[in-house]
Amino acid sequence: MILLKPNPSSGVPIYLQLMEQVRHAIETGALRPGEQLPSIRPLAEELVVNPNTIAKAYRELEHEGVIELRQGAGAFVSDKAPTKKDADKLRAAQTTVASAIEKLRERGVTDEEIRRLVEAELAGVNRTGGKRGE
Amino acid sequence: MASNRAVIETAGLWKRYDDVEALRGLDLQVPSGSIFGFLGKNGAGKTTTMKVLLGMSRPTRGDAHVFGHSSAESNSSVEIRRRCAFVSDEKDLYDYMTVGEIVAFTRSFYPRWRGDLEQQYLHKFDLQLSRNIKGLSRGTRTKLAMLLALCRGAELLLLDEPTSGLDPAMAEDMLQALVTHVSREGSTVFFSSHQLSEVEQIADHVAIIDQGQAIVAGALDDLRSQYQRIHLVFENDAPEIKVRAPGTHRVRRQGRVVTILSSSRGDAVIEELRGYKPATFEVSPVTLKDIFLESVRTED
Repeated sequence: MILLKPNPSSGVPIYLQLMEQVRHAIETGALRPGEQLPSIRPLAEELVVNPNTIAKAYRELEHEGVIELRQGAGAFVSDKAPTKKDADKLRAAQTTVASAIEKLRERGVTDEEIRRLVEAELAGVNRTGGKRGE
Repeated sequence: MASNRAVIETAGLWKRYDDVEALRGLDLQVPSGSIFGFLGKNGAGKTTTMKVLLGMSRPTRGDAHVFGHSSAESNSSVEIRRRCAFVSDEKDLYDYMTVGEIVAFTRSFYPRWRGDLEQQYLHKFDLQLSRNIKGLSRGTRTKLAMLLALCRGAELLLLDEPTSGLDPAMAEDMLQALVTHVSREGSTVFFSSHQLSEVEQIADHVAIIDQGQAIVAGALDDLRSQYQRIHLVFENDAPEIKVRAPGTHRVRRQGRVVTILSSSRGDAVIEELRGYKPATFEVSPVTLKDIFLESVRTED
């Protein structure tokens, strides 16, 4: 079983715990793009939670683009679901951005000036035909 | 599964017994296909509500409808009882029968009786047909009463404390039976319980009743996201804090620490509290137990 029994007394709504478990399973590779998630009813019985709660978690994950709900067929991990690689990449990028901002602030550049600089830089890259999507 | 149609609907329901007002304007909406947790302290009016819904007790004022039928009219209340299964707090059973006899006896009244479920639950609940009901433990009585309710093919289960007397493993099996019943049979479950973690586990809707009124009601996830706990730590003794933002705010002040349970989610409360300039500031989610205790606390 990929999903574990949620903790009803943690204060975190059960559907959010289930969403986090699915995202985690995808990040660790326990669930891969295209693979099917357990169907709602058997999973509700297995985890002893309300089937509506599982349906809600699946709907929200679909809304986030993590899974796809196919009529009558069930829930599948989206091909576009963020994988561990994506998560690592973003985390590393965030560190780079944070340290750059820290250095600029030390030099007395204001937050508003930093924002303008970043936006100008992104716009400039686009104009000069750098490899930035639209 | 869930639709917007309400299976149970009450409006301004009052019930007076002699000089006791058991219900004082109860408003309830129980959506079809939901597992609805009905919470309250002892004597809050939970059992009275169930009896009024089933037409076993007439309201003094106000309306109660089940499946769109009025509970107060005798013809329609017969129809309601035909489509409902009720398990009372006392787990009423005929003490002079054996398990096998009461199952056969009950089966004879219900054309939609589910023989498949009967076999399944006799096994799962470990009930022996030859046992005398008189000698059963409290937990076994609960299991037997629940079996009789689950097998009737009812569209609505009204359950007063469906896990009372059960050990944790058996209680989990009972919750699983309820979840299965809702997911496979599409029934609605309306149950009272003092086990808030059980309610939190399987319910999608809850109401908290206090002194005959529903003081908190709604989808459990909505309620939980509406409430928050805010924890402030100050450098020195904490100042006196009065929250002006709307909603209820229970403020506890102890030395340098202030804890606030707030029913109004959002930035207004947080901005207001930041104004007191605490050294640390934390916002954390709450449990159903927090909401329950906050709602039914006696005003001092």
